[in-house]
Amino acid sequence: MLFNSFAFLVFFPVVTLLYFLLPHKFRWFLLLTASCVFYMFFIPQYIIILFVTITIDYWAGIKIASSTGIVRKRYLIISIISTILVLAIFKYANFFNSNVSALAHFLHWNYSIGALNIILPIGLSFHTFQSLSYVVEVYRGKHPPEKNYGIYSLYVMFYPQLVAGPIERPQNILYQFYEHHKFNYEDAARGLKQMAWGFFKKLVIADRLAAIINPVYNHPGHYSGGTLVFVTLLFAQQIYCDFSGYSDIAIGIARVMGFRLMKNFDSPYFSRSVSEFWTRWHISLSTWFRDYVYIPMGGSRVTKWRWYYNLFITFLLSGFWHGANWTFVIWGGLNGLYLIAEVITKEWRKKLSKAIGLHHIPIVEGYLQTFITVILISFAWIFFRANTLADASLIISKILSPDVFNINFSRFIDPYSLCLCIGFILLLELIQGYHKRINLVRYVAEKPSYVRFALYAIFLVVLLNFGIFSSKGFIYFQF
Amino acid sequence: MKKLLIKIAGLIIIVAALNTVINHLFYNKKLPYYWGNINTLDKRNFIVKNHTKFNTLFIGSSKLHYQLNPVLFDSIVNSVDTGKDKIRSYNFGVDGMMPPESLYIYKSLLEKDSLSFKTAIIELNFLPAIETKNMFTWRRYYWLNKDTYHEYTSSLLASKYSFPLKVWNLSLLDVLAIQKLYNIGKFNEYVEFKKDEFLPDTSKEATLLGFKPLHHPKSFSAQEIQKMQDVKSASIIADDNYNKWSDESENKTYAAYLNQIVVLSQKKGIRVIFLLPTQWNVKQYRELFPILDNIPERDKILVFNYKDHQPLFDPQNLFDNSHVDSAGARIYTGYVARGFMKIRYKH
Repeated sequence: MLFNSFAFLVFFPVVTLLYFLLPHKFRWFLLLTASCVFYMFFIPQYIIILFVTITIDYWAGIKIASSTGIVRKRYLIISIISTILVLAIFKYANFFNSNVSALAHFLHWNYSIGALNIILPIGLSFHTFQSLSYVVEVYRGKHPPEKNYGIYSLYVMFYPQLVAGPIERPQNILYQFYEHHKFNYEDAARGLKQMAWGFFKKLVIADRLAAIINPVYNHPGHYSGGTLVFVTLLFAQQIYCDFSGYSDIAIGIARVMGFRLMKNFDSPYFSRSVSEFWTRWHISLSTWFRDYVYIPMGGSRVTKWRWYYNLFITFLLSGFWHGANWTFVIWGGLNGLYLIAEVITKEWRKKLSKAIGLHHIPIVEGYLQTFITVILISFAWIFFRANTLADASLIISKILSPDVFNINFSRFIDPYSLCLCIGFILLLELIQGYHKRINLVRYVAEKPSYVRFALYAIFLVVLLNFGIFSSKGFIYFQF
Repeated sequence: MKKLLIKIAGLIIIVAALNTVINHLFYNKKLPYYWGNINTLDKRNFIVKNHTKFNTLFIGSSKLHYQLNPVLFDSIVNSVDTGKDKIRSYNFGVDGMMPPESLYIYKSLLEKDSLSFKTAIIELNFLPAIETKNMFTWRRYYWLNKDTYHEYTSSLLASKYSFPLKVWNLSLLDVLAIQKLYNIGKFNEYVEFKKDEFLPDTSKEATLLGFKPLHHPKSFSAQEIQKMQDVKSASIIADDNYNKWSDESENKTYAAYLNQIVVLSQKKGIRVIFLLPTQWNVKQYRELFPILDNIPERDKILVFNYKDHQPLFDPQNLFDNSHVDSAGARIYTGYVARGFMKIRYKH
C-alpha cells in the first residue's frame, strides 16, 4: 500500500482509531495484522518470504542468547547467511547471472543459465537489514532476545517503516511495543503535522519534478549538456523530497500512535562537506553501515591506508545495497572516493582558505563549502539516476563539453511547471533554512489559535491544489 | 482525542470553504467545460473553428474514433443521395468517452459553444463502473456537477449492477465529488491542460476529420483470441435474446437523460440518431436493450449482432477485442452508412 493512495486514506484512520480503542494487550496483534495487510497490498504471496526470515531470525536470536562460544557464533552465521541468501536470490541473482553471462560471452564460453523471472519484494533491503541488526545486537549482548514471536514479527513488519525505513535497531523500537501508549494530543498533532509536511515534499515537489526528470533521463542523448546539468540538480531535490517525504510520513504515522522512530534526514543539502552530508542523509542506513560494517572493519582507528580502504568498501557496499546495477556500485564507490579525498585534502584546504583569506569571512566560506558539496553529491546522483552505465557516461561527457552552456527550457519543460518547481524548491529551502535557526514548529505553536488554524488551512489548500495525486510509488521502494 | 477530532473537522470545513472560493474565483473562470479530458481538446477546438463545414456529428468512444471514417461515410451516403444537402460529417470519438461523459460533452457543445448540426449520431453505451485505478484521474469526474451527479447516481441505482457494486460505485463517486470540492490536484491538471493548449496537435485530426485508423497487429495471443471470442459469443447471445431483454425493466433515469438530450437537440433543429456498437459482455447488452426498445426504429442504427455483421468479428479485421483495424473500419463505416441511409429513405 502506498502512503499516497486512496486505500491508505482509509487504512490509516481506521488502524489508528482501533489502536487506541483496543485494550493494550491486543494492540500488538492489531498492528501486526495491519502491517500484514499493508504489505500484502503489493504482492501478497511475498509475505511468505517475510515469514520465513522472521522465523529464522527469531529462532536464531533465542539460540544465540542461550548458547556460548563457537555455537553462539554459528547461530549468528546461520541467521546472517539465511537473511543474505534471500537478498541474494531476489535482488542480486539476476545481476550476477547477467555479469557471468557477459564474461562467458567475452571469453567465448558456453553459458546457458537464463535470468530468474522474479520481482523484487518491496522494501526487501530495509527489513532484511532491520532483521540483521537484531541478531547482531543480540549476539553482542546489547539486547536480549525477543521471546514473543508476534512482537518480534512486528519489529520487522511495523507498517510505517516496513518498506522504506527508517531502519530501526531493537534497542530503539522493541520496548515501545510493550509500552502502553495512551492517546497524547501533542504526539498526535505533531505526528499529523509531520505527515502533512512529508506529503507536501512528496506530492507537491518530488512527483512534479519526476514528470520533468524522467523523460530527460530516459533519453539523455536528446538533450543538451546544460539541460542535463539543470535536470540533475532537480533530481537531487526530487530524491531528497521523495525519500525524506516518505520518512516524514512514516515517522509521523508512528508518532500519532505514540511511537518514536529515529530521524532519517537532517537538511542534508546544507552540509559543508560530503562526510557531513552522510551524517544527515538516510541516517538510519548510514549509521547501520557505520555500526555493522565500518567500525567492525576497524573504522578510522587503523593505519591510514586501511582507513581509506574501510571508507571505500563501506560506501561500495552501500551502493550495492541500493541496487543490483553497476550504476549504484559506482555511485557508492564515488562517494567513498569523495570521503577519502576529503581526508587527504583536509590540511591543504585549510591552507588554501587561509591563503586567500576566506577564513576571515566564515559565512562566505560556509556557503562555498555547501555549494561544492551540493555539486559533488549531485554529480554522483548521475550514476544513481541513470538507467545504464552508458547513459551515465553519455550524460557526463555532455556535461563536460561546451554543450554545458546550451540550455533550452522550452524543449523539456513548460513555463508553468518550471515556475512551480523552482518556486516550491525555494520555499522548501527557505522553510528548512529558517527551521535551522528557529524551531518553526514551536514558533507556530506559540501563535494564537486563529493564526495557527489559518496557517494550517493555507498549507492544506496548497497541498491539495498543487499536489500530484496519481499514486506514484516512492523511489526507495525499489530497494 | 475528542479535541483533536473537533479541530480536524474544523480544519476540513475551513479548507473546503477556501477551496470553494478558489474554485469560483479561479478554476471556474479559467477552465472551459472540457478541461478534464485533454483528449477532447483538439477535436473541440477544431469543430468550434470549422463547424460551418459540417452538418453531421458523430460523438462517442474509441469505437468511433478508430472505426468510423467520415470521409468514407460521406462518400457512401452522398453517392446514393443526389439531393442538394450533402452529408459532411465529423468524428468526435474520444478514447474511453462513455456516458455520462460523452453526453455531457455533447450537451456542452450545443449549450456552451452554441454549435448546431443537422444530425447528431450518438454512440449508445453502457454506464461504465468507476474503477479504483482511475480514482485520481479527472477524466472520471470533471464532468460532475449538480445535474450530472444526480443523473449518474440515479442511473447507477437503476442499473443492472449487483447491489455491492452499486454501493461501491456510489461511494467512489462521492469520494470523487469530495475530491472535486477540495480541488485535489486540480492545479496540476490546469497546468497539463494549458501545456497541451500551447501545442494542439490538430494536423492529423484535421486531415481525417477526427478518425484515426488502427494498423492490424502482427499477431494475437491466445488470450486476445479468447477475448474476441467472448465478444462474439456475447453478441450472438444478445441477438438471440433481443426481444426478451427488451421487455426487462428499463433504467428509467438513463432513458430520461437520453430523452432530455433528444429534446435539447430538437430545439436546436438537430436530429439525434443513436448508434449501438458491439459491447464486451452480455450484461451490457441487457442494460441497453430495454432503453433501445423505447427508441423509435427511425432513430437508431444497430451494428452489434454477429449474424448481420460477421466481418466485424473476424480477427483478420480486428485490432483487439474492442476495436477493428483500418480494414475493419472501412467495413464498419459501410455498415453505419447503410444503416443511416436506410433510416433516411425509409423515414
